Amino acid sequence: MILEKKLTLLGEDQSSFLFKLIFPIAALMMILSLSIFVLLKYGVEVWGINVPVAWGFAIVNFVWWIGIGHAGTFISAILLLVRQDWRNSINRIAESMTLFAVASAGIFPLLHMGRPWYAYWLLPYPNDMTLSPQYRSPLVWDAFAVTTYILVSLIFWYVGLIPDFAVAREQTDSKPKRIIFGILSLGFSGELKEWASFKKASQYFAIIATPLVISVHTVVSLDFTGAQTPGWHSPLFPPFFVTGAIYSGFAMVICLLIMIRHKFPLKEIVSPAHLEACAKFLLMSGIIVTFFYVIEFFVVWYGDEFYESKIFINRMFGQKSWAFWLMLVCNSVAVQLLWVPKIRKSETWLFIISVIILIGMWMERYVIVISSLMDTPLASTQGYYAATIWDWGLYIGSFGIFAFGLWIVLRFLPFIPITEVKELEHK
Amino acid sequence: MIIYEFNDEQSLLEVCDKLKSQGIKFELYSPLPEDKLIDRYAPNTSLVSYMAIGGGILGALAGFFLQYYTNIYSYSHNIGGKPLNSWPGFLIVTFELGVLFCAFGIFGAFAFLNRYPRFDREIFALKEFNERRHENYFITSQKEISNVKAFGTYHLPDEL
Repeated sequence: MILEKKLTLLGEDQSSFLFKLIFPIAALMMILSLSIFVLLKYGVEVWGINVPVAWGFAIVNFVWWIGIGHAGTFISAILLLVRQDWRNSINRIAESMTLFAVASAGIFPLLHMGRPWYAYWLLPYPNDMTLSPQYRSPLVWDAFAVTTYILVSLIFWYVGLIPDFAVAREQTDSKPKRIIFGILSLGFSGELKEWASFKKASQYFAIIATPLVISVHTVVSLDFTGAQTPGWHSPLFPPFFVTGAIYSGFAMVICLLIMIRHKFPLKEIVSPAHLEACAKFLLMSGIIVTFFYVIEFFVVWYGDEFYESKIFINRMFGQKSWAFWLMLVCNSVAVQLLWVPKIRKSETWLFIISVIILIGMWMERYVIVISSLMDTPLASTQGYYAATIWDWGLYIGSFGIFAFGLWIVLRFLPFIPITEVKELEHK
Repeated sequence: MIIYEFNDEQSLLEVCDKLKSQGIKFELYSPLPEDKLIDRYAPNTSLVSYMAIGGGILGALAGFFLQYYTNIYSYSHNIGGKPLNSWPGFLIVTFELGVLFCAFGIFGAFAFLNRYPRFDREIFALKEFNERRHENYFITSQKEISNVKAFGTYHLPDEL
């Protein structure tokens, strides 16, 4: 009983700290609103994109945010299927991270259209404009994949919350909260049939979410691979993108867990063993990502194709070579520190390395998007890209959506899965 | 309605087995989703499987024929000499809609089986249940049974 009460009231106990967090989040949201306002008033010309670099920050940020979401599904679905019980206490935080990372990602393609109020043209609906989505295009696949991903993640997250809402309904002292939690719990009572169907539904969700999560970043990578641009047109991209996504996502999970552990009394529930397991995942996916970097260069060298080779030489020594080397240092070198158990077990080091990896993974998308479009050997497609203040504004502002969503979860919802933690204790 | 409360699993199992053997209908409420209890009294949840697979097939068919119909009948254009029914290109949307409808099916079955939203359960009227359902087991039954070593026995009027 004490455990349930404690886990339900985590947000309430820290309400004064969480209240202070409203101000930085509001500042981020204001930056976001201003950037969107300027964009809608003047059009996409306020961004740094041009011809030939028609894809800029918006796509970089989209791919980065979607990738971060993947670790949440990985923890909630794949680790459930392989019966990794340690995931139980952190899966809600990871799943919430998925939802709001995908929400942050979603604003970029919408705004990139320039006229986001026509976004529904991406969906098939009967109209008198003789207009229909082009189903052979990866961009339309993306619209379907991301929409499916966010809806399935939302349902999975909500179903997992139902028994915890029922606990919260009984544990909270405030009447309005009791009513809201009561409605959200749908009248869950803990009857055997409810538990049996709950378990079955959770397992089925995990089974369908596993191929779904892999398909989503595969489709995102097809946005690039589908084009015949040198540097993008590579069959290596789908597994490369999926691994990169899980890599950056785990870095974000570690950052969030360390911050939450620091502020909430959860030292036993989110234990050092959890952080170490995540750190090992980080190391493993970092090595795979590095392997892909090597293979990518090997394939280009072995293929000996003029335009491809030129792009890759320009990546290393061209106008944006700093981005390439920064990416390599962040993603392939910094992560090697995690081989040392002492560093792996230190929260400070782990936090620093995770932030470095998040920067590195962002740089990776920057290198892929920008360098292939501007540093080409064809004179007609040579150009330059520099982000503007509004590009940065939108990127920084997108953290506002992410932080606000997580803030609501931390403040009002049982963000440590009560049922699953009790199950672990019971075992 | 009679409600029995148990604080140990052994006496719970004894009573449940007795009820089961006599063919008396009962409902069991447990604090956790215990595999042991689920396996033993195996409530029928196969609807979840049927609706998952049905939803998946329906979604995939809908996804494929949406694209087929668009490309062959309602918006047939020759694009780069590609065949109108370029089915390999349609598979991604087919897969995504299959997964989406499968998820709807699972949630639908979960809600339908338990008749959600269901706020009018009789057992919610019992104060002890709301207070202790996280620690103890509860059984509701329409008939009273003799020789029960229960932690508590409660009678609820049939009409509330």
